[in-house]
Amino acid sequence: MKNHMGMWIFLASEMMIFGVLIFLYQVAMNQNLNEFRMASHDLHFIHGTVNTVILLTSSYFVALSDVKKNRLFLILAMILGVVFISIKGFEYYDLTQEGKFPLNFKDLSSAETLFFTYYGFLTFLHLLHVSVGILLLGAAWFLYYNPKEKNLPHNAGLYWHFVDLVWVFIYPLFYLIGRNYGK
Amino acid sequence: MKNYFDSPRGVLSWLITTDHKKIAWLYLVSITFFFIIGAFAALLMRIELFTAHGNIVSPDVYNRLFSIHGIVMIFFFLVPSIPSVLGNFLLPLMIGAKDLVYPRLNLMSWYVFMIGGLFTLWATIDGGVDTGWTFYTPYSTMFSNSHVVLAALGVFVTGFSSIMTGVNFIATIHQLRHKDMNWFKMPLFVWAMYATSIIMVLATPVLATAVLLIGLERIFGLGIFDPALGGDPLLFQHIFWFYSHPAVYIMILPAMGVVSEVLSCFSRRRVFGYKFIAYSSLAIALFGFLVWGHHMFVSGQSTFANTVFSFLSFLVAVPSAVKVFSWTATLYRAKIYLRTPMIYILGFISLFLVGGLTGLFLASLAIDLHVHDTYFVVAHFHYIMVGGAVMGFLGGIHFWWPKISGKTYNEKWGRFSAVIIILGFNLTFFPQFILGYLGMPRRYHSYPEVYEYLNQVSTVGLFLLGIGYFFPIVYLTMSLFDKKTVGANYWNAAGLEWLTESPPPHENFHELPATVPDVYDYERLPDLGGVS
Ligand code: HEM
Ligand SMILES: [Cu+2]
Repeated sequence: MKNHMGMWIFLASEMMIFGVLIFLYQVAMNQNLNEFRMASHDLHFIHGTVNTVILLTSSYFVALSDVKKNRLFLILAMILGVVFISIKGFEYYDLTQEGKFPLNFKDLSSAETLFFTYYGFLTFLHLLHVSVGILLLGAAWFLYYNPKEKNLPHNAGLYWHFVDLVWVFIYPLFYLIGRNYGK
Repeated sequence: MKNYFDSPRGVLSWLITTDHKKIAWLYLVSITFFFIIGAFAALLMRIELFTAHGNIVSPDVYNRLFSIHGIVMIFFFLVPSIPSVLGNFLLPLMIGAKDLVYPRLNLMSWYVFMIGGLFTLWATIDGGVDTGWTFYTPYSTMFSNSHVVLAALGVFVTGFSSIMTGVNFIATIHQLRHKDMNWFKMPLFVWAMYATSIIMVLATPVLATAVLLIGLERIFGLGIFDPALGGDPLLFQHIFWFYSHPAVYIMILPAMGVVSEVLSCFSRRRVFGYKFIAYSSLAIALFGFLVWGHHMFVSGQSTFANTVFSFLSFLVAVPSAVKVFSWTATLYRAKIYLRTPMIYILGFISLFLVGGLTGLFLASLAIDLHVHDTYFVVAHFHYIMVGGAVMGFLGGIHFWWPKISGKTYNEKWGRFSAVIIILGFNLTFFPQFILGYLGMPRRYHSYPEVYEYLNQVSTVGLFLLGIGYFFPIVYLTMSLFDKKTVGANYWNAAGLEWLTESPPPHENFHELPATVPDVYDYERLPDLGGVS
């Protein structure tokens, strides 16, 4: 357990960052409920869902590498991380084309602007965390057999699970809220 | 025997050190530097306020002065002061550890702190900001044409240094305690550091997010706080105060920790109600998160919210009162030694009392409506932050100076400047309560003539206060060049940190004692040492 504590405390701190953003978003959503539901339809539901599956699977691989003491699973997890980023890239690209990605808004109502602002900001921040996570997994892979580095693999794993967890909140709050409210 | 100053030596050994004791020095020098900058801004402001008609600086420059004063004093002086200097130096010594768990993280946190500081300095030199240290939207995001982004960036970056320190302290306290030291053998200063670190870790990210959003909103025109784009400016105030109220405790809790240590030593008594003091630190840390709304009574939030926040604010006063009662009980019928550290600590208790009680005035809705954004508030928070936290810091520095430097200062000068500081402080800030009550608003560079007399008293007080602050900087620095060194336990004090030489060796202890001493066992120790 020795040196995992720092990571846990750090993650508590990270949680406050995403926590406050998700809180802000929820307040905004309450004030513009219908508009947000409508705007949610403009996100790529399929992309979001596939990404959710990808991230959950990668988390599973990370856990497996810990249980089976096999660093190859880390590679699989990293590959899935890269796939996640690529899919997000496509999604961002499409939204930009449609004038719905921050910095490139075209004729949106104020509620829509707000929805896509939050979407852009939160997912981008999450994406940064995914990238850092991939680097950490890479470092863990690299140092896997180094007897001095007992902690890194486990800490990288914790971080990855956290990044996954955050996505589990982002996904319904952005992609699913409009599902039962037709367009 | 080599002490930590000598092993290793050289400038580089300071810049790449991972020794918590040297890092404490890096912080001490840096925050002193920032304090001087903040103090100069205060000086200019008070000179401006000497006469009713603003004529030294323009209103705009005045705005920039109070903003930079607030930003520097809070984020670059008070927040890091006790934790990063005294906490860094003492925490491992007090729990019998060689260093913090993450020594490299500790060094990194200083560099991050300095980078944040450089951004803020840059902003200042290049014209400053005029939003106040609170960066309220929509002014900061849409209207201000000053260096909001740079200053916000500075605050954002420094936040991470605070978080790193917090992570390091919590993990260290959990993992590196001496085998014989259970939670209830820990010095109360360590408890205070623990509670403070919890706040640093959980509240600072919220502030970082808030100022990050300000920056992005300004640069890219995002609309999170901008009503025209559907956002809500009040949200900023909520998240800002969600950090900044607890931040008040980041500033005051560590000072309270110092008080318990010093008080017990200079009254040669066991602190009364050890467990109450320990738990009340945690209670303050937790309740502190629930009261931010008392800064927003007049912001237009609902009456229901106002009432709840008012009530909760009274609750959070309870653990502070518990501490004050315990200290009073410790002093009761004790033989009190009025040495320099003790004078500061008695100063702390009385000024904190005034600040705390006037805080209750402000927590009452009806009174706050009258004095909100007047000098009453300015006086209140200076009593807490300067009267409380700065006094605690100075008291602590004087108390542990023999341990830190292996030298001692001239006691006469010490007492003299402590008394000057207390007098100067009251002369500066007490008139501001009256001014505020009479209706003088804050953040104005000129005012009606009726307020002139009290303002002049306040400005004169500042000069006295300034002199008071100047002395310790001089005599403490000079003491470093003394030939005479002190023994391990200058005050015949009880804590573990006094069992190693002064200054301690690089690894803190040559040999750890098998059991830790009872930290407040003053009844059985010899009398106070040092000079009389
Ligand atoms: C050393 C003597 C000091 C003097 C004479 C002084 C004086 C002042 C003055 C005149 C103001 C402007 C009040 C207004 O118009 O709103 C002010 C504001 C402030 N001061 Fe001080 N101050 C001192 C020390 C400190 C310290 C040590 C701290 C904190 C560690 C501090 C924190 C603040 C803050 C946060 C503000 C609010 C700035 C704002 O309105 O945005 N001050 N001070
Ligand atoms: Cu408050």
